[in-house]
Amino acid sequence: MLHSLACVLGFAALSVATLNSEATAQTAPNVDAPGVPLETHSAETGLPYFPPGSGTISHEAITRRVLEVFEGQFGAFRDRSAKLHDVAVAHCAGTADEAALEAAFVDTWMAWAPLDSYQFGPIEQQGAALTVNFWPDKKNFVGRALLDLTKQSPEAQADGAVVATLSAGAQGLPALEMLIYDDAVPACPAVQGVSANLARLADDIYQGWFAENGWADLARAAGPDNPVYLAPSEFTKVVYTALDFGLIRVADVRLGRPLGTFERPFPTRAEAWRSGLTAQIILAQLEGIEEVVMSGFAGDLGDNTRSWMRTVFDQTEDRVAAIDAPINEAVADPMQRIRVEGLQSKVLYLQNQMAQDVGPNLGVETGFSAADGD
Amino acid sequence: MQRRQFLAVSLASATAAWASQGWAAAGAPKYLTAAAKPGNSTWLVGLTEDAKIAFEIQIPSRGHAAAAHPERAEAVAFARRPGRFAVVLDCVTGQEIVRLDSPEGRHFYGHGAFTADGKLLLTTENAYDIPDGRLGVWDATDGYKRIGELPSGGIGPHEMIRMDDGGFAVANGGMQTHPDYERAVLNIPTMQPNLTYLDAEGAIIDQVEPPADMRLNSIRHIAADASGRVVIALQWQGNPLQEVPLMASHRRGEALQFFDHPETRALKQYAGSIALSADGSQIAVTGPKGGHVIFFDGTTGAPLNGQALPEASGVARFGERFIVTVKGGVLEGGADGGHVVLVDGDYSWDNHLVAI
Repeated sequence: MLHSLACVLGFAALSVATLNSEATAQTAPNVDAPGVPLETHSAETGLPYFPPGSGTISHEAITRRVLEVFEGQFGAFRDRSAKLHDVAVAHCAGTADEAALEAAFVDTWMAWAPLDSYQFGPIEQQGAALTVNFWPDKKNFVGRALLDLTKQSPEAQADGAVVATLSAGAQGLPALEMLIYDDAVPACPAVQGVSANLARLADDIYQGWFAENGWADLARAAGPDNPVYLAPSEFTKVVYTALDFGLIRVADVRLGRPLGTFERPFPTRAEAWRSGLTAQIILAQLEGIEEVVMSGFAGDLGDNTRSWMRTVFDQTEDRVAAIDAPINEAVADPMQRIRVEGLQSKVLYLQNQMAQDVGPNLGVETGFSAADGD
Repeated sequence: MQRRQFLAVSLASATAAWASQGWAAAGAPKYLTAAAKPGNSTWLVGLTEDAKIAFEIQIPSRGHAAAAHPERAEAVAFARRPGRFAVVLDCVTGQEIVRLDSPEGRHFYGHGAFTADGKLLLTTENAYDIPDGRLGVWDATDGYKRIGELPSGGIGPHEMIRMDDGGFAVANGGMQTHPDYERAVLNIPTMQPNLTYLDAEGAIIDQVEPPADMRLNSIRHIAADASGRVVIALQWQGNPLQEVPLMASHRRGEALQFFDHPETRALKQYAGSIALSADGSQIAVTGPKGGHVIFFDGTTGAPLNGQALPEASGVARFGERFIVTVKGGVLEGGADGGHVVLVDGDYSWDNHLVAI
């Protein structure tokens, strides 16, 4: 009974944080008084009154909920990549305008942003970190690979299978960005082939996770005979470590690279500077991490921890909004630069708070383990 | 650096050897290992033959393997990838002699080896923006000044060892990594490991790659016998549900040979360290992820047996058998049994045990 109630509440908790809307009262069916809704969540904080598993940690429950979050996030990337390809084909046929193409492109990149944190499992197995998002690109590999592509016949350029044979620089989001935003590079017909290949990559990654015998099944089957996860807690640890990595990526790479030094910032080292999406990508990655904490770890974290983490996530996300210029411009503007540095500090603070509160409370600190291997 | 220069430096520095004490003065350590204590302080520990602590020296962050100078009581502890430091220690006084920083655009992979004359130290390194594998060259007669680098012969050079003939074997694991992505492998669909042989002057003289179906079996850790045969501990990067051998051996001029074992599965697709017994009769392979060690016949490669050993990490030859770092101490023994000797200090051992 206790278990099934926890499940009901677990899904309720999932839905509120997944929507990530303003806090509202949530209800669940009331088995003791049918017809009288059971109010499960505080309207003020959005947190459940009776968080499932609060005070105890069920790594099986965490695995189940994290996989639901992942299915949503990986599914969104697959769906938006497929839509981008449809729009690209329509655009090259003259039936969709440039704004529609840009909008579909932005949607796709925002769906990838959370996945950047999960460099294990199918993303690693399929080498997708570089094929989807070849960055940093210090030597203009993207531009050179696109030049190779645009020398081919129009049919070949529009063919995802051809693009799949090219170097990683021609395959992913930075290549699409150059095609769509750089006026010196014509978008059609290559945007069709690159987006077709990206849609295929996105589907492969999704299938790698969620097809039968995929990585999700591997995580669900954690135990002594599992070739990867000897216990369910090991999956929790991998996910927690991935979130920690995601925050370091934001602070050190996404912000650190363009910041450079005060004397010498590097505006064009900002990710996606051509499209001006740098800050939006950072926000989407932070929100992805927050979703895993709130909806995946959910009630297996104590109420105080979740409430505090929500506050710190909100503060961090507010600092993204407080920067009044694209990141690549902001780093070179003394007034705006302070805000970028402030965001970087805040992300590191968030990472620190995760390490102090979330990891220990889940029993999965990132310290030394003889089993880490190398 | 050109091969000619490499040799020239090696000769030129012959006159500059500095005075230093030999290994006998260092409390007679026989083995070196990186370790951590509760609270995550990180250490380099020297162990005597009877598994007593000869010395313990704190290092800045997590170490991986170490290289012992052939004559002087000096050891170099390497940071675990993607670390950028290596610490040269005087193992008599416990003092740090010098700290090595990897140059811009390079990080250490955690292993290295001295030339037979002890004049040069070679370190496996990642030139991550290229990407390419390199061997850093440091002058041990001149304060370990960096004097150049050599190609490793592949992506992801990990363990390198000096062979009895003074040449080197380098395990190019094939795994492309970049510090921006911490420890994630970026090139699994195209990775191609190899085992590369260098002569005593650092020139590549031979290479062997695994066949297509073993392309995803990373060649990471190696040991060699006096005849020049190299044995290899493998890490499978492909589908974790696929069962593959995790031990191989190689002799120059022949193909790689792979050896299965009924208990390979217990290693969780990850062989950590490998050693040959002094008499060549046995091979030991540890599985720190699986908490298991497996033994093979040293001559034929036939499986002998295995044993569950929590946190089985480093392994080195110990007389006719092996010494294996395990949770709380070391195992002394081999396929025919052994016993665990507890070691004080509440240490968790890191992946490797290096015989001096």
